[in-house]
Amino acid sequence: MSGQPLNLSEQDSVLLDQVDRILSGRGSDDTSADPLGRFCAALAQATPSARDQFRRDLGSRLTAELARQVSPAEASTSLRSRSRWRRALVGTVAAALLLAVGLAVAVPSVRAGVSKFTHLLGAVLVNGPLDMHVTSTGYEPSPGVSIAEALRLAAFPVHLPTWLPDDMELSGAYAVTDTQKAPGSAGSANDVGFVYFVRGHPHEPPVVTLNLYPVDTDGGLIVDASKVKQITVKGKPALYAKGAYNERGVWDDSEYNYTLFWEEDGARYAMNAWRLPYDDMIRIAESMR
Amino acid sequence: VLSPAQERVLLEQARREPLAFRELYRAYFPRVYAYVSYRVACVEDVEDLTAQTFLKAIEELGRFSYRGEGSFAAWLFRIAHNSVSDFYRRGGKAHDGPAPLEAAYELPDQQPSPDDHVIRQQSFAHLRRLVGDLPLRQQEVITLRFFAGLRNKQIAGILGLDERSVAAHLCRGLRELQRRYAQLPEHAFGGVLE
Repeated sequence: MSGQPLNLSEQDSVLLDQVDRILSGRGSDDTSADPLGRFCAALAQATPSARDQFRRDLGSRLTAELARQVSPAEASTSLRSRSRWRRALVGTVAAALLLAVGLAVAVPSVRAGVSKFTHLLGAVLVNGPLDMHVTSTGYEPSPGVSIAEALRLAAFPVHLPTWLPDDMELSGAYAVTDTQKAPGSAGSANDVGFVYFVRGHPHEPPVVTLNLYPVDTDGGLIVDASKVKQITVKGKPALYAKGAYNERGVWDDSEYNYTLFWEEDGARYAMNAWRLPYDDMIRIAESMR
Repeated sequence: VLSPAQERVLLEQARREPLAFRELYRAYFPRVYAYVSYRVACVEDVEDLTAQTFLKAIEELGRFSYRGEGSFAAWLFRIAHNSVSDFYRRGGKAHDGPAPLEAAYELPDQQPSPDDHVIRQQSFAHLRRLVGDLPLRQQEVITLRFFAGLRNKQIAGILGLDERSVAAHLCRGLRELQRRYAQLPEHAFGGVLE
């Protein structure tokens, strides 16, 4: 504390009561005749509005920062308990997660059946129509883990979006650890993924699924080369593919389904987005930090 | 607006699941932004300091201890207050340069018309300047009371004053503010504060 307390007059007490009433929303009527009271009421209303874009950007930035916080308590309990979103993840959005699971199994099994393919940025580009379906045999949804645990399990630095559309939020994560890997792959670096839902709709299919796996992963998502456009993300080469694998292991190239591939800091990123404009998809990728 | 009980639950939840903090951010963003807007002129600085406040809060949340209703708000605005103080210690400017502050404020959804919005933008800009010209203590007390929504006791804790001094600064500041406002040309506020 510093200095001597300042004196309060009776008028001060009246003014303080007025301010209390105004700020608690009870003071509009009895201040109408008093200029100082009216002024205080008007002052309380004179609040600036932030730019929507700033509010959204800061929200996304905070989400990314929060997701990086590894809480020891969270990490130790995450294998024992399943939160609401994790049940949703395993139950209703298994299809969206399919593309991240069992890559090491998928690609060798189809290599023999195609004559021309190119490995590029985490995708296996096949020239000509795919003459096989990636069977769902052996594909099980990866178990959900806490976001903190996914970050811990990743064998590479994880970049997450610092910008998201206003109605979207990071809702969960999963990891492909040794028990879910293809036979013989135990001990290899883990794949991880992050799922973004429309806020308030955690049981609907996610809008964006972000899958990360090490750059030295053998294989990748098998994509018809004719569905792919080469673009750049952060000034680096990227692939923008029309479609994604559905729950039956079939490439679904409907107009609402797109996948973006790129590499960063030792990780391959495959971002699948459903009903998201191209510009938003690119902006999300560009905002990854 | 969160009830005290909701706020407490969220704070406990945020310790276990950091993402729960996002609800606290949504609830407190308007107040933090308004408070900083009255303390700093340039909108880029306002945005930087608002961001700094929340990022610091995330970083320090593990050290926050709940001491009853209003303790989180007091803690958060102590961070905001310190951020503003550091800004000035580092040589930040109280008044903006050539770019008018009001130009950066967007039309809030509830505003009925662009004309009204312009008037309110101008009113805010004038009021901000009037508040910014008050003695520092009065600025601090008025902005923490009116825009951060803190009680005098909480403000006293942040500023290192006794509660009675906070009340006195508040009364003197408000009277002085109204006196200066009354001396402005009538058109300065477009009638909004009339």
